[in-house]
Amino acid sequence: MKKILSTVFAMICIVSMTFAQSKTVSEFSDTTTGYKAFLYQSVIRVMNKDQNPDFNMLIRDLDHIKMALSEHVGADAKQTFYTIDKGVKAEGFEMIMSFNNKDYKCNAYELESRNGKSTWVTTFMTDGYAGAMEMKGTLDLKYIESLSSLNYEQLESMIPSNFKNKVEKKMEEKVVEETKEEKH
Amino acid sequence: MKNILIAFVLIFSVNLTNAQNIIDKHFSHFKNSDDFTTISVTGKMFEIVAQIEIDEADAEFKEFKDMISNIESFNMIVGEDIPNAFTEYKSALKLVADSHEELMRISTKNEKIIIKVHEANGFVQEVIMIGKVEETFIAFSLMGQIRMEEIGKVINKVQSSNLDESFEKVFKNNIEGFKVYPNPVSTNGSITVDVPVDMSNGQISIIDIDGKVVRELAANGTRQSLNVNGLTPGTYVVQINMGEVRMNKKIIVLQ
Repeated sequence: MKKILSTVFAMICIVSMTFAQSKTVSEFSDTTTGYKAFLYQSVIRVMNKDQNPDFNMLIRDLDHIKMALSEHVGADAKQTFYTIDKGVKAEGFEMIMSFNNKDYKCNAYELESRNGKSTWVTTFMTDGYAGAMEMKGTLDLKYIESLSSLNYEQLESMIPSNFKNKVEKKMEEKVVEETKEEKH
Repeated sequence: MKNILIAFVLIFSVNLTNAQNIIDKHFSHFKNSDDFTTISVTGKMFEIVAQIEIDEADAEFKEFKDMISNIESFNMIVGEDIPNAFTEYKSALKLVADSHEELMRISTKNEKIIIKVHEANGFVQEVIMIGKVEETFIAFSLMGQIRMEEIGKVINKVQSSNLDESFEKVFKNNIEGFKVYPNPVSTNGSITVDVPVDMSNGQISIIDIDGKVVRELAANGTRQSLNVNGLTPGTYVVQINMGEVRMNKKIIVLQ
């Protein structure tokens, strides 16, 4: 299962890092009380842990990555995921890949514009909270192997600890609540 | 009006094609079940991966790229730790009993795996695997225009991330090693069967459309010749049985 997850994640990364613009994602990003981040190319360039020149070539036409996370957990996170996902579908995005189970949900979508350029969006629910990601710009797929130089730890560390703590606390509360309900 | 009709037929054809994979056709109800993991990859995703330019020296990735260029969709469901895995497995087999031909079967006390294919126009249009491993139920579908010789490689790429490593050798050696030729064959001719090394002590049979064994002999090595003299023209299955593994290959006997 771990291999499936990592393969799917790698493929979603490829999709996500191409181009994206969605009204639903923008609205969610504007209204969420959770975490949101804009990573411009200059910031992403800093995450080139090996100082790999190919990595810089890979992202040279990438404008920015926008990520938004909800602070909802458990069933509320699931509902948030479904709401975002429904909105993206309603915009006419076509699902090109999906991964779905009890704890992880991730859908990748494409919308082709009139000028033939594709737009890509990823919606996801993982570790108990939901979110969406959009990326503007393109990746030069010739250099896709250099994605291994991306410092994921640094990327993850950008999520503020108070947000992580808040979500973790909510998740713990949710577990206690569900256990109580089960007993009743 | 004519254009509208053509458009309608095209749209209908596309929907029909999409609906043909067995996961969407028979197992879509699992997609919202918390007990199951579902994965779906469309042809568009494969197109994107195929666009990735690679160093020609990277033979493994080149082979992977060539392989996926002929794949239109991949769908999989995995149900782990489900108490009724064997029931699901048996039900799934019934659903595809007539639509797909059996290519390979592995059957042990705890593991049952069947690989079936649907062929048309000289290509395999869909490869499916339905399996029950301990308390896990697995089903996947790969659709595309896949050459029969590539099936072993394709299945290996998919299954190696899901099943025990011991299966990898079984799939690779047996599917790639089992060949029957010429096909079609004339009634006064004979067929040569290339037997996978792992099955060289197995039994080779020719089975008619009613399931009756019409020829049978021991493999006794990795190549065997069978006379088809006297067989009524029609479709037959050449089968090798060896312990837990059974392999099938369809042949046509002509007048």
